[in-house]
Amino acid sequence: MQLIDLDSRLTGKRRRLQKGLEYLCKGALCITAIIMIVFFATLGYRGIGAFSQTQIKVDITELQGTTKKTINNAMYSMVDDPDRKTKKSLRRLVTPNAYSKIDITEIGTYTFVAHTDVDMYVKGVYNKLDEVQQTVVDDLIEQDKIYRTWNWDFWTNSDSRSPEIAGIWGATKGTLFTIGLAILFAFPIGVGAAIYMEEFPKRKGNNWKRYRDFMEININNLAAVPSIVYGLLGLAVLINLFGMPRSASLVGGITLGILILPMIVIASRTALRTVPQTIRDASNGLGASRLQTTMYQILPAAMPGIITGTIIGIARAIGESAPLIMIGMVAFILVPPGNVMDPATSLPVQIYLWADSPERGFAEKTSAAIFVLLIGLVVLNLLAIWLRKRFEIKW
Amino acid sequence: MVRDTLTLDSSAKINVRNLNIWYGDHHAIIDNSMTIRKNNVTALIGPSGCGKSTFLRALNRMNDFIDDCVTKGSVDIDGTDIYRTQYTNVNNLRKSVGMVFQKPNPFPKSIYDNVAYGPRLHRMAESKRELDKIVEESLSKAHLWKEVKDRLYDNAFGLSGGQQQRLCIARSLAVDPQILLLDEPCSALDPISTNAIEQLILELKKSYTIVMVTHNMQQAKRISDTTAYFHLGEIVEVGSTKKIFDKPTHRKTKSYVSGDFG
Repeated sequence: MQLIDLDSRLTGKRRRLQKGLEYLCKGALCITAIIMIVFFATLGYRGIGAFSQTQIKVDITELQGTTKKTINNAMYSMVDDPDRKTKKSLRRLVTPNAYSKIDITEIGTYTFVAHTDVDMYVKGVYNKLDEVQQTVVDDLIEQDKIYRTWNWDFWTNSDSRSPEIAGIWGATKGTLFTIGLAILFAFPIGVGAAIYMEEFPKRKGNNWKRYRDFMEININNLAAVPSIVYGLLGLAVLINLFGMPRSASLVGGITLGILILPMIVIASRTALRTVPQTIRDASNGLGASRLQTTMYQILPAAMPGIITGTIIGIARAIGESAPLIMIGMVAFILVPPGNVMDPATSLPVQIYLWADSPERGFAEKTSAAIFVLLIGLVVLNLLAIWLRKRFEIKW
Repeated sequence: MVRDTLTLDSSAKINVRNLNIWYGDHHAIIDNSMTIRKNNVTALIGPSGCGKSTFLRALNRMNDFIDDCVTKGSVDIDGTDIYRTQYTNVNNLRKSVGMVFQKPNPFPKSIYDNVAYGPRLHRMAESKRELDKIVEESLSKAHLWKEVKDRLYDNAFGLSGGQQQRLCIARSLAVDPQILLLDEPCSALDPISTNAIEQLILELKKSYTIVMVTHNMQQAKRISDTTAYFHLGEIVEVGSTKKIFDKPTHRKTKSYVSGDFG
């Protein structure tokens, strides 16, 4: 006779409750997934245009005094006997900056970036071309002289007033400078503070304990302070008090460094605490000094956790725009910064600037830049997960 | 008076006098005095929480790491009081007085690096070859060399529990100590590994002075020369192992070794 009933399923209220909870959790997961997919799909759909660029092939048959005149002349020759208005329309088929990039000294066929209106027309976003322009453009499309191609300018150019040639390189470089400085600033200080709080002798007496508690509460608080407050701090202390240059990645780096400092301290302390006491005992028991134990055993063992925490902090700092706006890294920067003292902007601020621009061409740039930023963040977070999986020590 | 005869004994290695240890308000070690002889295995037995581990950790000042631990009294090793001043070079002390813990605690590194860690700390080897020699000797002394010589650079976590504990012993031996403190070295091991470690201890006592804490009275009986019975922070009785187990003078010792409690 079977004493324990193993065959019948859960029944009644218990079963309903269990199933209900299960569906609720599944539903929550599905909603999260759907939100993510819709988010990425929207960005991808809206931003995909920015990854291609419309170019226009122009036959130069005759040289003029300047490159600008040569190009204009070549454009005029597309229509027989153009009047002033037609000339203006024709001039506006290539990007207004075309002549600044190239020096035409001999005749031949040259490729220029098309004007944003042509670009938008080819991509089917809107049609602002007048009759003359439309005829010429349709004609050139027939002849394969206007075509879409991979948009290198988006990756290699900086900001521009003309959306068709605006790119993210300047902002990316600014972000790299800023984040690099933030890491250089915050990582040693954060890890040092964490080591001091976790590894160094707890002095006897209530004052020391009170001081430690005070520091701990403060650090935890700092991690929750709105980021714009750090921007105000950077503005008031670094720029006004220390006289550092405005809009420079130096100031941005230090400001973001202070922003991620508490996160690094908290992550490092957690990582240091996961290293078992037995390892400290073993090292101390061999006659290692406290410094040796920390440097040779505890810190290497805690490093995967510290780095993972730092990367997550960096991922947050990369997405920050508010503090950078406060310290003036919101400027219109045409040239990528050459060093940390140069005026710079960063990707999130660039996104903010483009989103604010009236030209329709910047809309797709905005989405594309957000997409690039998000991909960067995803890569960083994956790196953090990989590092944790790869180097984590199972005690 | 017992103390006096022991002090005069030329084979005394460690002389503990009036040792008192407090954890905050808790008086963990109460006025302990005992002598530990050279090249002997001294076993510390007693019920849990009686202070034997605290006593052991006092011998190489590992209690310094515990926040609110206060130590009074003296511990003379070769005639020098290690508590004489807070400026004693504790790192050198711990080099000479090695310690092996209850749970095997290898570093998360290769077997080689585990053993080489101590010699590297104290710059005991001039060259790689010298270091190799120290590592080989230490592993041989711990009877581990044959088992690991082909995988010296594998992670130490891949070893079995018994092997890990022998690695920890080898690691302690690598810094050339004179005294080995073993804190229940076999309590986490199976009987076969325990036997291996016990044989090892018997062999090591030829060159080292060994103090071990054990919960296993049979083990104390098998391998120790001297036994000290601890009860609630006090040393109730010290004597040769034979005497403690066969003819204990104190009533508490008698009931403990006969298994009435503990």
